[in-house]
Amino acid sequence: MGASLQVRDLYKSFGEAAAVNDVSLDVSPGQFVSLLGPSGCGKTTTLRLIAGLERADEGEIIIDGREVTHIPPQRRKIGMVFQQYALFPNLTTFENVAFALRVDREPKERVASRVQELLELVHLEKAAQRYPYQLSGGMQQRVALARALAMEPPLLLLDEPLSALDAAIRDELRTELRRLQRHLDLTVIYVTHDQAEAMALSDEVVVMEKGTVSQVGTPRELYDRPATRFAAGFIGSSNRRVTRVEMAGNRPMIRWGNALLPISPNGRDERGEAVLAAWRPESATVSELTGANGSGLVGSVELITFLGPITRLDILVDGDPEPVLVDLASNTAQSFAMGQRVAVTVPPEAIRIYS
Amino acid sequence: MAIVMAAEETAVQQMRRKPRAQVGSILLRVALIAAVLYLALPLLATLAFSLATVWSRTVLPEGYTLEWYVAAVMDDRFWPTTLRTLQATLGAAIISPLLVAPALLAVHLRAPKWKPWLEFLSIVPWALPGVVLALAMIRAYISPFNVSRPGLLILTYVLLSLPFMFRSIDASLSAIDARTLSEAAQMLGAGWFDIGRRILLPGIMPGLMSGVLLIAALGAGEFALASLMAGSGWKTFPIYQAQAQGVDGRIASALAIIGLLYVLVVSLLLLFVAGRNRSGTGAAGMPLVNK
Repeated sequence: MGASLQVRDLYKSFGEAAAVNDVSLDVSPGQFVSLLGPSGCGKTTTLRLIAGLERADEGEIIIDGREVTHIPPQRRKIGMVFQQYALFPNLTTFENVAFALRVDREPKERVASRVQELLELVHLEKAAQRYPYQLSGGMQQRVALARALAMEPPLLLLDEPLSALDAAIRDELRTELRRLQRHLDLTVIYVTHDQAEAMALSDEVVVMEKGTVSQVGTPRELYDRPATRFAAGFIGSSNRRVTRVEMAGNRPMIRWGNALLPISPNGRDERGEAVLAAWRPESATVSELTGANGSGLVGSVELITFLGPITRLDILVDGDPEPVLVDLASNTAQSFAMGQRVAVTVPPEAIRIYS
Repeated sequence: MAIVMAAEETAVQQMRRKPRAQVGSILLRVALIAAVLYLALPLLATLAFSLATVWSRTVLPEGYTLEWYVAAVMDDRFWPTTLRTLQATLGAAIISPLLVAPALLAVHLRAPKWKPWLEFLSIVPWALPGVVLALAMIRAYISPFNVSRPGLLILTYVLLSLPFMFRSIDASLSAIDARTLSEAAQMLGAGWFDIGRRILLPGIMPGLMSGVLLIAALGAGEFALASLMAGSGWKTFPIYQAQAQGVDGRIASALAIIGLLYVLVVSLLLLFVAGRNRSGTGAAGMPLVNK
């Protein structure tokens, strides 16, 4: 059974720069939570603080109701997989996986049976006597995982463990990782800069920016309703413009190029204020320009990019120097041609407004 | 027709290029042979002289014999001086790693910014003239601490060995990424004793062995400091070798060849250790092959 994790108002600085600034997390037992953000956002420092490899300047870390903020890493009973696996080069696969058991002075029979069980779990029974330099990247990652699980830790930390692998291996191991997590009912904190990875693996994603938490939510929530400018820009693709809210009668609108687009009223009066408007490429529809649909976004197809099931149209909208991106099902996109004049319809509820 | 002419032109150009390439290749070979001769001739001459019965008026020795080797080894001074050299280098080989390894570990794990300073300190003894170093050691250790002359020589060899030991152990620690491995071991419940015993010491062993072998080679040829420090009271092999030159050049040549054989064995051991290190382990945890 996985552990619960609470992090309260964590603060850590290196010199004058705050690497982690007022970070709080609440992780339930058995949850898979990703810390997602660009390089330097504080996600790895947060993970290392939870592990005990860095000492927090302020704040608390509580695992299963027990405060561990000032407890050294050896006594926190947390498993960790490092970005470069950190396998011990002088030990075989067997001895790497057995390391924690040997340190704990477990009897030989228990060590042998537990290591065998773990190697079967990660499908590496035949590699038991090989050294790390004899293993591929994917195999080393599995050994690192098995080693971290040896003492049945209730909390597992992973610091970008798939970043050094090529795409095919990464996909395969991603699936396996999730399978293992569910099978063992582990609580996992996973650090990544890859949003697709975070979305695919996680029950919850914590988006971080400049040492602080920008937004916490399920992958769906983050994608459909990014709450901050940063989250809107970082998660998925979106068309973004700085514009102003105008009123057409009682209806709030935003200017986009030469057009006025209706937006959902949000209860706040932002008339005249500069705001950031954003909408997802897949939320808009495109149609051939006729007399009836020429009042909204109108423009010319500048580029058609075939991406398999999806085709992306770059459309240069009248009055806007930068093209908007619209994703259509490839079957639908076939009816459009380069240079064609089209109308783009964006539902009001798809346009997010940020102050 | 045009294609054939073009092909012929290319063949002609190639023929013109051949003599130039050949000249270049010949010059390179000549240079290499000259370099090898320049380095090898003195050694070959010493070897020939040590094996010669008489060699004064002919191009090559008039006859060959092993009697100078027998005379050198049977001399009363040979074994005691050899043993003293081995003692001095062994003493340095024990103390030097005990000083350097913990300092480098501390720097790698806790204070990487201090590494350039440590490196600077390690080469300071080599920046001093031998006489200055000898006098400084005598002043520092004999009067206040009453250290014996042999002990002083060992301490001096420790100082001279610092750059070798530093570079060797530093290379090993960098190759294994000691910091990350230590963190991984900590997360697996290991304390510093277990980390040192199970991970770090095996990791630095190749570097340590390389450093020890370099110390062994150093001791075999180090004459100036040995004669200044230990003097006539505790002669080492290089001192005996220098004295033999004044008695009989052939015995001195035999001793030189024996010394060279010792360094050759040490060098081969070094290559063996280095080869095992390269093929055996690789860098810690790094995905060497991404299949």
